[in-house]
Amino acid sequence: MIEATTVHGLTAVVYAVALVVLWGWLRQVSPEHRRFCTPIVLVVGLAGVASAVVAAGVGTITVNGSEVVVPLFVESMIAYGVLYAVMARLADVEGRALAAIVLTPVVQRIAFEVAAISGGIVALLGLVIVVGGHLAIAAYLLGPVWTQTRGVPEQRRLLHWKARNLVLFLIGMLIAYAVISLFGVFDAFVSLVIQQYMAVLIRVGFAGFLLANLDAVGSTSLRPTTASETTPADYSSH
Amino acid sequence: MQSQTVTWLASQYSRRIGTALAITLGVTVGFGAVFAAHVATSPEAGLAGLAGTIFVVTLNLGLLGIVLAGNVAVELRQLTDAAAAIEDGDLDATPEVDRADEFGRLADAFDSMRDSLTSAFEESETSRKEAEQAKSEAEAARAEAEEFNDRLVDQAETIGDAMAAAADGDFTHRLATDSEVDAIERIADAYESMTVDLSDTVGEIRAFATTVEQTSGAVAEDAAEVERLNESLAADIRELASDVSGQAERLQSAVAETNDLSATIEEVASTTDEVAGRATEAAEVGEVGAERTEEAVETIERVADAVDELDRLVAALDDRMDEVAETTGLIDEIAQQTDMLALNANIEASHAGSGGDGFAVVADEVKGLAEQTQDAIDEIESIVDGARDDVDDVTEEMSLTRRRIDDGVETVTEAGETLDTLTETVDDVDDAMAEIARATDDGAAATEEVSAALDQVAESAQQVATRSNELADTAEQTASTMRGVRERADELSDQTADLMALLDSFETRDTDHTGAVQTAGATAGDDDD
Repeated sequence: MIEATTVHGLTAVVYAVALVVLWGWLRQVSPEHRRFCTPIVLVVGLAGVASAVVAAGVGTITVNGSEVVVPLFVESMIAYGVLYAVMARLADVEGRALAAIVLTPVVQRIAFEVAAISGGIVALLGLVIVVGGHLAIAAYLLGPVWTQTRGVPEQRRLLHWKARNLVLFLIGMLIAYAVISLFGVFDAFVSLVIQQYMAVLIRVGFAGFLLANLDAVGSTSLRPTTASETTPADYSSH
Repeated sequence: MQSQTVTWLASQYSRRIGTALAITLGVTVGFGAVFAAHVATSPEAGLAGLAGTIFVVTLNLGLLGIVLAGNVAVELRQLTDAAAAIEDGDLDATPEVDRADEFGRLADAFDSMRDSLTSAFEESETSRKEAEQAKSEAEAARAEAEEFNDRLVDQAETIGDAMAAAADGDFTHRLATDSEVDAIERIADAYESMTVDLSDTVGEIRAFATTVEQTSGAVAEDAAEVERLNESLAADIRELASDVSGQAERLQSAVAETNDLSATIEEVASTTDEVAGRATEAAEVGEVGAERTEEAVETIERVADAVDELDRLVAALDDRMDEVAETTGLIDEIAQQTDMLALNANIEASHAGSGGDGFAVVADEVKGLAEQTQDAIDEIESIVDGARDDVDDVTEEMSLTRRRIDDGVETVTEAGETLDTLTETVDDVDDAMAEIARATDDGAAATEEVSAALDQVAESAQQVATRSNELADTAEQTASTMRGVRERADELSDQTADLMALLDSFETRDTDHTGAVQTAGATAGDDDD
C-alpha cells in the first residue's frame, strides 16, 4: 500500500509541473489578463507547497482524536475563496455580494473540519452548514447573480456561466465525497487519492480553464471598481 | 510541434471531444488501476476501491459533460443571439466566434449570410430610390404626353371623321398633309393614298364581281350536270353491286357444295384407307397361311419319311418273321426228332426191364417236352402267321397311307399355292387401295383448294359489292356535294349581285388607274347623286 506521504509527495510533484506550465502560459498573456489570472496560478503554487509540507510530515495535528492537516486546511480555505472570487468577478459581482460569495466556502470548509473532528449534533450541524452553504451559494449564483450579468459583455457573461457551472459541479462533488467519506465507504488510501485528485482538478483545472478563455475575460479585474454597498438583495431587485 | 497539435485539435470540434474522452478514459483507467493495486495489497479494501472507482468515473463523466456542453451551449447561444438580433433588424450583429472548428466555420457562414443579407438590403434600397426617381420622371413625361395627346386627339378627330366617312363608303374627303406630328402627317398621306387605292379597288371589285357572277352561273350549270351524272352513276353502281352480291351468294353456295364434295371424298379416302388396312391384314394372314402350309407340307413329308422308315422296318420285320418261321420249322423238326428219340428210348427202356424204368420216365418226360415244344411251335407259327398277316395289313395300310400322304401333300401344296396367289391378290388390292387413297387425298386437297378459291372469289365478290356500294355512296355524296356547289354557286351569284349593289353605294374618286386623282364625285351606280 502506498503511504499517505507518498501520495502527498506525488500530488506536490503534479502541482509543481502544473505550476511550471501555467506560469509559462501566464507569461504569454497580456499584463491585464496576467493580473487577473495570477492569483489562481498562485493558488496552484500554494497547494503544491502545502502538499510538499504534508508529504514532509509537517503540519498534521490531532484534535479530539482526529487528525487535522493544517497546511491543507489553510490552503483550501484560500483556494476556494480565490476560486469563487474569480468566478464572481467575471460577472462583475462586487461589495458585500462578493464578500458573501468568498466567505461562504471558507465557512463551509471550517464547518466540515469541525464536523470531522467532532461528533453528534455538532458534526451534524457542520454537515448541514456544508451542504446548505453550497445550495445557498448555488441558488444565489443561478438566480440574482445570473440576472445581474445582463449588463456584462456577452463573451464574459458566457465565460462566467461556464465557470460557475464548473465550480458548482466540482465543489458539489467534493461535498458529496466528504459526506460519503463520513459514512466510511472509502478507506484512508482511496479517500486520500480521491481528495488529492479533486483538489488538483479544482485548482489546476480551473486555472487552465481560465487561461484557455482569456479572450472572453476582457478588461475585468479582480479588484472591484467601487466599494459599493450592493447586496444580493439589490441584484434580486434587478 | 505543440502548436501543430493545438491547431490540429482546434480545427475539428469532434477531435476535441475525442481527445477529451481519451484523456478522461485514461485518467479513469489510471485511477482504477491504482485502486485495483490497492485492493490487491489490501483485500479488505475491495468495497472502498470499487466505490472510489465509481466516484472517479462519475466525477470525470460529469466534468466532461459540463465542459463539452458548456462549449457547445456557449457557441450556440452566440449564434442564436446573433440570429435573433438580425431577425430584429440589427444587421451588424455577429456571433463573434473566433474558432477554427465546426462552430467557427458555422459562424463564418453565418457572417457571410449576414453580409449577403446586408448587401441585398442595400441593393434593395438603391433599387427603391431608382424606382422613385424613375417614377417622378415618368410623371413629368406623362404630363408632356398628355399635352401632346390633346393635340393628337384634335387631329385624330379630323382623321376619324374622314375615316368614318370612308368607312361609310365616302372616299371623297381630303386631309391636310402638313401636320406638326410626323405620325399624323404620315396618317394623312396614308389616308389620301388609301382613298385613292380604295377607289381603284372598288372599281376593280365591281369588275371582278361581274366576272364572278358570270362564272357562278356557269359553275352552277356544270354542278347540276355533274350532279345528274353522279346520280346516274350511283344507280348503275348499285345495280352492279346487286349483281355482284348475287354472284357472291351463288359462289358461297358452290363453296358449300364443294365443301360437301370434299367431305365425301375424304370419307371415301377414309373408307379406302380402312379397306387397304383390311387387305394388308388379309395379306399378312395369307402369308401366315402360306407359311403354315409350307410347315404342314414339311410335316407331311416328314410323316411320309417316317412311313417309309416304318415300311422299311415292316419289311425287316417280315424278313425276321421268315427267319422265325424257318427257325420254328427247325425247332419243329428237332421236336419231332426228340419225340422219335423219346419213343426209341421207351422202347429201349422196355427192353431193359426194371432197370430201364427210370430211363423210361425220362423218355416220357422228353416226349412230353417235345410235344409241348411242338405245341409251342405250332402256336408260334400261328402267331407268326397272324403277325405276318398283320404286317401285310400294315404294309397295305402304309401303302394306302403313303398314297393319302401324297394326296395330302399335293392338296396342301395346292392350298399353299392358292394362299400365295391370294396373298399376291391381296397385295395387289392393297396397292390399288393405296393408289385409290392417294388419288382420293389428292382429290380432296384439290377440292379444298377449289373450295378455298371459290370462297376467296366469293369474298372478293362480296368486297366488290361492298366497295361498289361505297362507290355508289360516294357518287351520291358527290352528287349531293355538287348539289351544294350548285346552290353555293347560286348563292354566290346572288351575293355577287348584292356586292354589285353595295359597290354602287361607294362614292369614289375618279382615277385613271395610275394613282393620280382627278376629280371627286359620284361614280357609276351612285344612285344618290
